[in-house]
Amino acid sequence: MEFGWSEEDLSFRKEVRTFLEGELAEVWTGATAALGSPENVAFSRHFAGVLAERGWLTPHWPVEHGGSGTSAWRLAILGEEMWSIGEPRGPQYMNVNWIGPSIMTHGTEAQKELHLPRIARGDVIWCQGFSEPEAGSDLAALRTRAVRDADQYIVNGQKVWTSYAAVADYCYLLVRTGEEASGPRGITVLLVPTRLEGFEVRSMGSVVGDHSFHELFFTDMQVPVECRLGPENEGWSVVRQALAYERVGAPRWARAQYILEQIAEWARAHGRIDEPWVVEQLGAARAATEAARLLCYRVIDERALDKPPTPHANLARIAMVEAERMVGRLAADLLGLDGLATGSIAENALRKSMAAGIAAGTYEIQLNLIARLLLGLPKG
Amino acid sequence: MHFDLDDDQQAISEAVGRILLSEAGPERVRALGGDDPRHDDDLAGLLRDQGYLGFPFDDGNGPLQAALVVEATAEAAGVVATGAEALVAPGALPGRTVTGPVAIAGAGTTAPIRFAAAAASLLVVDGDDVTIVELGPGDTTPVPARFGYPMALVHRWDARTIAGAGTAARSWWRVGLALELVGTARAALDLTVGHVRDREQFGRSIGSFQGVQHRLAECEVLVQGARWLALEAAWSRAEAERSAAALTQALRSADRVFWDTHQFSGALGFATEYDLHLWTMRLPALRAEALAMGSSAAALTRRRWGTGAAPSSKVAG
Repeated sequence: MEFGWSEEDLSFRKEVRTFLEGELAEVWTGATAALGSPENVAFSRHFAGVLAERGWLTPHWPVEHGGSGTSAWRLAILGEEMWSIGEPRGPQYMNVNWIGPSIMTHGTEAQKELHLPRIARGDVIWCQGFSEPEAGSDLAALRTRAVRDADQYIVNGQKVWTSYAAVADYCYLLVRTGEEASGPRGITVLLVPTRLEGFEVRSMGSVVGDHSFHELFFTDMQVPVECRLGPENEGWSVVRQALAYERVGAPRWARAQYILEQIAEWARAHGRIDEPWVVEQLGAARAATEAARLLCYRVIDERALDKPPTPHANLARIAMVEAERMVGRLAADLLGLDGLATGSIAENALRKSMAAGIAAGTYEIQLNLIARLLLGLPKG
Repeated sequence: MHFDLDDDQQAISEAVGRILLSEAGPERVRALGGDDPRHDDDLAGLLRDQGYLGFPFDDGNGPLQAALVVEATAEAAGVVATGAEALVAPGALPGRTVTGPVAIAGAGTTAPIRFAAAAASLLVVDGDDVTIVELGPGDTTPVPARFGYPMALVHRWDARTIAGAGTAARSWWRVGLALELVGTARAALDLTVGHVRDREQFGRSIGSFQGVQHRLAECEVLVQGARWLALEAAWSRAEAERSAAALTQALRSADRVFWDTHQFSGALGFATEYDLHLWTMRLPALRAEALAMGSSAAALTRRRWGTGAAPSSKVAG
């Protein structure tokens, strides 16, 4: 057990920070930083290209696919520094962290050739077609139907809550190819170009971000069989592996700490930082973000040692949700009426923390997994 | 950054585990007096003789090894004053001989002090300084208390002063308390998880109900987070901000564990013939000692943002 960073990792962090300060100065504010806004997406496309040129977009990928096989710790440092300033990579984290690796593991040679270089260059945006009106936490109940017709699938159905769909080039789509009640055994993954006929996107209003959500409608959409990732009806194991990547891929604790610094700065500037409850709550929130940091680090340590996935990732997720909520609550309480103004720190903190317990697997599902896998409690 | 024990840490952990398995635990606490026990001189002597208590921090792993001893002793419900002897004395007063057992308190404490009756030395945290009081027979009066630790009033405060050690002593004290809280909460939580797994009502294990599972899973997250913070704080040699963060999170975790383990143990949890109280009733005692130092969350804020209200006593900071 040892909690220090190596000299190399420390200097890498410094290099990333210096780069970000230079690259983002003056352009990374307001609309550019608003998740999913046209300005945000345009900037993230440009920024991903700059990162790719430096070898920092997919550094953890194998060399043959455009990566440098960098360590899990380096990748975590890169992620932390990005999240600490509001994640300028935008939607790229999905392709880079799990869609790309998923294609590497299960894709055909043609799929690898088509998709991996584009993801590694940062010039493509993906969305994930998972949730449906009747399939949220119970994702395996999904109904979007794909029927094989010669060398193509005919897809009909609906997805919902899809981020970035309006600007995405491709969709990592889960469809049902088995019988209606086949559950996890009848699911298939399709890598679908969003320009196909029959692929319709509708934007949805949302309190957690103006451009966060979309509905997808598929009407007799014809998807070539070559777009299938992995065998027919075995998509569930493909996607489960992908989700294991997603769970701690987002170091939300780093963003919570960043927002907490802004809150402390606001409190100081407004002469509020000596109020006893503020002093108390700032400390409590900071401690919670630090606990989340270490629980995430333990998962990264396991990954660095090539250990199989453990429920420790679920612990880390819960701790991050808890920490983000504490920060969001403190921001709202402290700024009070000032916090209601659009664009305030409190509004940002509150809206960001609202999604923490939902995105990437709900809080309750994580607790179920901890209870069963770690505490050894029986299934209800 | 590695979370697995290295070979030295593994060796010390196993060796201390073996001692605690035979020389600590619920039956031993009951033999020492149950919920108002005497200090376990034999166990303390054994740990000290084998070099697991009060060793100087002369290599990189010293504090982490000491931290593992403090945590494991608490988990085994050992009635030994580990925190002050294993962490505060070697950490804040390096090169000084402090005779064990060692108790710790803030200057001018008129309330009962944990382990004072058995202590050969009392560390008194006094603003920027630490004083060492050598205690003898007649210097303390035991106070009846049923919170799992021997408590006593101290009458003698004349002492030798070590100038400038106050800040470090407070931080080490926080790390020690965090580790004791974490070890104690761990044992209470494990016992309760076993209970809800075995206990059947309505024809099924009560541990299969989501209402029970979710709260225990949240306790698990809190205890594990606090544990890593406490160990990291020990590794950092009680850097002030990390120490305050560790204690803040440990207090929050222990509070949840206290209420939830009793809730899910039902009336059984109140019975002295059942073991739960041997751990849970210690949690309020550790909390009271921590709060006597002032708020650790406020200390964290002062350290991190260089502001906040000034400490209200000579102990806080």
